[in-house]
Amino acid sequence: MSERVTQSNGDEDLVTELARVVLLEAAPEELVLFDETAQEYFLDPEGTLEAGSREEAVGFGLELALITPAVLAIVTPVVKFLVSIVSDATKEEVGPVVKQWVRALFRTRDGTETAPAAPQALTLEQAQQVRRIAHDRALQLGISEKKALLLADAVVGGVMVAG
Amino acid sequence: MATLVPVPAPKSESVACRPSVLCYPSPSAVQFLVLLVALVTAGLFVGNWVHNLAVGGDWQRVVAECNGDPGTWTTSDPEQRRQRQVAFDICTSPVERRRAAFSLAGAGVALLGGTVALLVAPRRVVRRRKLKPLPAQLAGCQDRFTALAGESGVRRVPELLMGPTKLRDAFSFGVPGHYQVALPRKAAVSYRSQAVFDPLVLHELAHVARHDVTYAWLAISVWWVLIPIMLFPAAWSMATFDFSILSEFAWRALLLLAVVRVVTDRLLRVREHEADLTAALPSGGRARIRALASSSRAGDVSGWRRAIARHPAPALRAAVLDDPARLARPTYLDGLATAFLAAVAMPLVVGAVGPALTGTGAAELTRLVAALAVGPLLGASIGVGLWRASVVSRISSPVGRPWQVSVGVGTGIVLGDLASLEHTGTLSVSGTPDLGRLALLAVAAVGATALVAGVGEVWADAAPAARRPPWAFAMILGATVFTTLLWSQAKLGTSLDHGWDNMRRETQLLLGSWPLAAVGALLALFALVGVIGSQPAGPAPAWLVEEGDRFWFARPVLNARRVLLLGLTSGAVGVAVMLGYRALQGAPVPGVEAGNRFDLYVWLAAVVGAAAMLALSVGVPYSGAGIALAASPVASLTVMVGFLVLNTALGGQPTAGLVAEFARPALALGLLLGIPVAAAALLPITAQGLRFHALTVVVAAASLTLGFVAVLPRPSDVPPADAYLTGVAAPLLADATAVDAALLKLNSDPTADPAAIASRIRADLLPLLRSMEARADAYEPTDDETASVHAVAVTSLSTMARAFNLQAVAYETGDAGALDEGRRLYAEAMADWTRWRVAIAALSSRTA
Repeated sequence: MSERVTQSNGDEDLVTELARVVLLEAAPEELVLFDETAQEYFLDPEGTLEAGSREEAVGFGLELALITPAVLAIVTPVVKFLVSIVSDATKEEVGPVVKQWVRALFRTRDGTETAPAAPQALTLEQAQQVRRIAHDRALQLGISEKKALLLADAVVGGVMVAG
Repeated sequence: MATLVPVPAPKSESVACRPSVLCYPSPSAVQFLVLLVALVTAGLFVGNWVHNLAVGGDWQRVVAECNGDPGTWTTSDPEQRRQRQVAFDICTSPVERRRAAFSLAGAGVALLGGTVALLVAPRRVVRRRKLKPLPAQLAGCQDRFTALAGESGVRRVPELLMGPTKLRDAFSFGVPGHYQVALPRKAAVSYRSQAVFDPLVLHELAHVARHDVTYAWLAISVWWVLIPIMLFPAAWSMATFDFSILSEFAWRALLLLAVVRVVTDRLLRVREHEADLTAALPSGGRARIRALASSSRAGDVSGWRRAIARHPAPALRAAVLDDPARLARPTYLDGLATAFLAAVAMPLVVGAVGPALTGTGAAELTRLVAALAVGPLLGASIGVGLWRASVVSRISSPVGRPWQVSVGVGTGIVLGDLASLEHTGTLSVSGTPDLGRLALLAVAAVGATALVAGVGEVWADAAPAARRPPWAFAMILGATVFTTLLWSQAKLGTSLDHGWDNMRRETQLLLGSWPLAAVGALLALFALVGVIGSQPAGPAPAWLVEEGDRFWFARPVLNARRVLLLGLTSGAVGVAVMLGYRALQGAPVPGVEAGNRFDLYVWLAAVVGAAAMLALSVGVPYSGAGIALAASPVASLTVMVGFLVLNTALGGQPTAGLVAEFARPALALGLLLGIPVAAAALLPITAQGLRFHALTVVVAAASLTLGFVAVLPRPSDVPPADAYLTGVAAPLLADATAVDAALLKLNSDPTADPAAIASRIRADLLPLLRSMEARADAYEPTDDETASVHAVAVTSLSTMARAFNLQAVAYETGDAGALDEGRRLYAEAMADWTRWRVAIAALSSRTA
């Protein structure tokens, strides 16, 4: 997980929302600390993702990490991709409208969406692209292949796909 | 008699027996204390060093004044010399006590600093790791934690904190009465998970319940505090360009800090295993903790990093959970590390207690106090480890002879003695250690360990009859044996410097005492109780079995009657030797020769006791040395009875006083000789039954006693001049060569400034001269001729020491008058020395 994580502040709310949707599927128990963890992540993305080298004197010796920071890091390029799709489709620059339309692509818990006049869903190709981006990013973060696939599936599952 | 190889009980339809290794206190707990003592006593050295820096000049002035006219020391009247020594001690006691106070202050600073660091550590940990109380939405986590704390028997529920996202591992910290457990967020949100949360929290609660938190953090705190304390002398030496002791100090300090670090981490790894086993106790806990421990990343390192890892390798954690008996086997490193740290501390305590007791009339207690400060911890650690291994092996796989841990103790005690800060610049002029003393110390330490292991085997045979684990007896026995070892070697250390004959005489005088005889009797009682309670068959005691059948490795045992018989047999051989000797030599001349004959018989009784130890250690695998602890006094006392019968038959009176006069040194010396001899228990010899034992006893007793009588010189047979030339003059002349070499080295450096010259005189010359003085003082001439010759040597050495001391003071203070006086005294001493050499030459040519 040594690759530097970059983050566009403008997309933080979208990243956060998509990460919540993914965590609902992947690790719902972590949602109870989601806000604090996301706040820490955006302050120091690299630090929250890196495993500490300290070996505690009277500890267990475990490496128990929340998956939340990794999910936030994985969905960040995905959100960028979604923004670019919506921008291309609507000929709009990044702004409230685009964000609203991107947000409309997220599959909420009850499966509804709220934005009007927006692209209703990703095409199959676009969904495969999302899956590939998430999978690659997960591998870059040092996540195992098996877990990376699961997370990539969870990310795709978090957005609307046509058909 | 059947073979003594362990025979497993039938295992058909049995459930594998899982030993409860936690039924004994962990040796690692005591090892932590040894480690702390080693760290704190390092502060003694620094305190003494600060003393020399601050008021060393005043101390030297007072000591020189108290020393007075060296001529007053050369009297041949022992009583006058004793009175002179008492007066000197009283005169120097104020400055000596001040020196002791500095030393103790150094230790106090280390301990206090470590304690303060321990108390401050929790706040620092909370601040630096950004730990916070659990948020309200994780109330369920707190509830589950409290419930698990109740199940694990922790008296006061530790405070539960949660770390930031970066925190990935749970850990415990805090101080007694207010422990805290920090959880990573993943663990906190997984509080419903029996697979993660429960074993993780139970493991941490086990650390709290077993006081690991205090041990670990105190050791770490003192270690950190000690670094600046140890750096002070080194920094000062460099700042003042006085490098006289820097290298000797630096390697010792670095070695101590490195060893302490490695030992701390090793102990932490052991405590992790024990916390795992504790957390595995609840139903279903073992599988869960095993799965979690196997997934850990900490400790999964190789090479040198393995030595400083604070967690065991995951595979090893799983293996110990599967087979807890693995944890109960003491290793070479256990013995090495514990003995090293104890031996490092012992001379430092002697160096601090000695000055504190100067002039009190209790200076003789110095080495006893030091042995009591270190020996019980070393012995308790070794004792409880070996006894636990013995009893656990009865229901799991048998263990071999404890040669690994024994050799570890023998090696560690020698290395620790050499590396002790107290010996900085004082080993000898040439920098070479006293190899004879160290070799004896090593063998005695190996023997002491084998002895403790032997009694542990005897008591393991008695375990089925015990209602609870006899760990307290293991600690008491180990503490007694090792305190005796350390005390006696410290007392003998100076005697060895004065030759074999002096050592024999001083050993009898100094160590043939009632307290030591009482220790011998106490140890014999320990062994006898074990022998009486020994049972050849199980079932295993309930306290030893965690789960499964109470399966027991049955082992034939020697009963008390046979042990007594073997002791009597060995004693009978000694009596036969005594009678033969009396028949060959005839009656002694009343007076000195009769006294010497009595001493000879006392030593004979002691050697026969040691012979019983040797025979049983070799003849009875595993428990032989322990059994011999009961048989050895029987053998010695049998010789005593033989002596009393002989004496009475020849017209003597068997008074109570005579019995006491014989029994006291015989039992004490028998124990002292028996300790190193017990090392023979480590030899891989398999016994063949009682006949074999009896034959071994007879052969060992006969060969040892006959050999002893043959080599022991009878003082009346050796001409006084010969004895003086070989026993006193030759060693003094050898030491004089070393003095010449040191002087040559000093004079060959024209660039040395006055401070450096003074420092070299103190470091290189004075220790050797004082050693020569002590050697000369210890000799008691037996005729007028050697007395007159020897008086010249005593005068010369005393004057020479005073001359160099005065010159050192002169170089330090720039006092030209003192320098002139020092040179005058040196010339005077050399004139005496030349006179003595001429007299020696004359004596030598006449005896030739």
